[in-house]
Amino acid sequence: MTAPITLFKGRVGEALLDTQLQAALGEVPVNLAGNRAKAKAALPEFEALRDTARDIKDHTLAHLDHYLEIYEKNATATGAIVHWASTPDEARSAILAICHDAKARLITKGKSMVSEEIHLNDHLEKAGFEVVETDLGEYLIQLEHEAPSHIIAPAIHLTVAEVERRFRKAHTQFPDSRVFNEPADLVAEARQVLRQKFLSADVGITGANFLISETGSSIIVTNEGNGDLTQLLPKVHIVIASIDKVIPTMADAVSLLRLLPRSATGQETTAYVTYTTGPRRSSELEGPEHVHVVILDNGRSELLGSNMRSVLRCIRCGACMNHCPVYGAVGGHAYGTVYPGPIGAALMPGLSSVKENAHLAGASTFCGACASVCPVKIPLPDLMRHWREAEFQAGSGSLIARASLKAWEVIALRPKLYHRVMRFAAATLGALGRRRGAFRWLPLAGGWTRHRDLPAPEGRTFQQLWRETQQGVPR
Amino acid sequence: MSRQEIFAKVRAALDARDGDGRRAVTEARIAAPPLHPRPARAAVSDTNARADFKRHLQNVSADFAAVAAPEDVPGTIAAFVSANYPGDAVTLGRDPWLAALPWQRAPELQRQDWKPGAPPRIGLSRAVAAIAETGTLVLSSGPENPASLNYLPEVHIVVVQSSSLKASMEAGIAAARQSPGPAGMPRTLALVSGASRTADVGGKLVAGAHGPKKLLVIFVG
Repeated sequence: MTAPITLFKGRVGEALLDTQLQAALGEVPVNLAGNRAKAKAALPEFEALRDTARDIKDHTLAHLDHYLEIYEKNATATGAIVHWASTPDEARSAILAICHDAKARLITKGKSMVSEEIHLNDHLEKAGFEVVETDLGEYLIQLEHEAPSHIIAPAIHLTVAEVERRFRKAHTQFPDSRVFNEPADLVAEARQVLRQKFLSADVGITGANFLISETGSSIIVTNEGNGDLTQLLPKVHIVIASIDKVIPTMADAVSLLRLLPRSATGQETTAYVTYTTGPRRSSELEGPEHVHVVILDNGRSELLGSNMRSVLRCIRCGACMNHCPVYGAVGGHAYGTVYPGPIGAALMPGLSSVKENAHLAGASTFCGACASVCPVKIPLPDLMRHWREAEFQAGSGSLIARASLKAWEVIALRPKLYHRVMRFAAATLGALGRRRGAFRWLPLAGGWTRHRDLPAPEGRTFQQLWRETQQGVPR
Repeated sequence: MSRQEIFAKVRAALDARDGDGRRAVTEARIAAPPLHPRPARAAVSDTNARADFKRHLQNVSADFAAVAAPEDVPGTIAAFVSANYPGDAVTLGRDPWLAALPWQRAPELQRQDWKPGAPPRIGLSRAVAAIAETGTLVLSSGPENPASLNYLPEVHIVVVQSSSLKASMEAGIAAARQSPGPAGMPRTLALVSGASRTADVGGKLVAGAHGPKKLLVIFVG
């Protein structure tokens, strides 16, 4: 079996050479980051609200057992049925049973990362159900059985031309001669196709941005209105959410909602923020007759008890991806995980195995941009550093990397030796590189010199220069 | 099985013990929800609320019409429909406030009762509140204002009274709640801020993804 890191490096290499991907990445994440900066500038209290948001999530996590119980009690009082699932398998079994009981044929889905986490579509399709993703981005990737490459913009890797190609291939009910002049034409065709699905679906499955203990409500945040139709029109609505989605009160939700859209897309708010509380009321002529909420753990309770608890603060805005230089260079698919980018590197080893995911923590320059924009102030570089340590201690990682780290440890822990080695290196490299001022090639630095020259040192170390300056040696 | 397992793991992770006082903390927070810091623009005394509400809606390309009194509403709707969607009927639920409007002032305007199923071309709803902070309409579901009118029509017209304009999201949402707890919540509490839109095709913003392509807000008083 090929090691996960080898596969990862292979995907990174392909991503860097993929001109279509690079064209897509050149624009969208950059725009999202720019929009966030504008939204932040328009709200002077933005930074203070991040502290509030962090405190809300920390308080909730410290009392998670009770808030989950209160949520369950209140949701049940509204007529919803709450199911608990420790593992993806249990969550899928619960959902399959509900769909069978409903004698469903067609299932519509709103965007849900937790459903991606449990690979729900594959299992529903294997069981014979027709499953249609209704978020436009999710629909675009479903057409080619792809995974999302971003948690809020799942089709961020696709160019407009590629979207057109997929529609021509999939929507054979329309004439080949039709012309798509602009993105709006493609959106109009998707609207026409998906509208029929909304109106004839038997079961609607959505995620939840938040579950509120105080009222037993679930909240979804959308711009298209697709999740809203998915949860409103079919006879059965299933919410799939993880244990970290619960928050105490409606007031807490508002504080988090001030940050979520601004951090994600730079919007002051999205077109739709929808709170649903139980199945249809006796006075109503529409709305689902049955509402089920499936609450998944999948490793989160273990993270809760570890020094990685802060990763559970995440409200899934995607800002860490939009600001990450590594994500921006390789896109989401290269990570090979459900959650890509910095949050994926911090979360995946906890949700899945450390052995198969800890190498993702290496996909970071530790520039800290992710932590500086995170609305709930997750110390993402610290968490990634933790996984790097865990990987090293578990004895995984490449032999060269391990040997280099060992060698570094020997030198870095001995100041005298360190200075001697550095003086030697600076003097040698300074002498060798004096003529050109830079190296075209250096042993062990191929990753750098393949793409650019490495500037040569001046010949003396910083420590030497500092001492000379202190002693008044003219330079 | 899973329920006990999850709760046991969460309690172990939190080092929870019976009688550790954490239950009382959670109940107290729910009985008296915290007053988190709010942005200055969401302050109760915001004198710019009206202008803010309009500006935020216009920023997301919603149409905004201010009228002096409820009796002006039918004529405003009729003019909008005949200019943009001539011949189309307006579909609405059983909202008593909307029903009581002097529709005879706009005899040319066709109205039809909402029924579940077929998507109407133009939906008409009344919002229980408006939020200046974000340019948001607050809609409570029920036979008066069915929730699908928010998402299924091509055009959504929402009437809201100036007296129900709130500065903050907190106050706007509170207006939709009859009482604390789950029973006081409408089944669907919809916060609507502009028409349906998407940027999933090439990152370009397009209106009318699945829901209304156009939102007209009629602000009364």
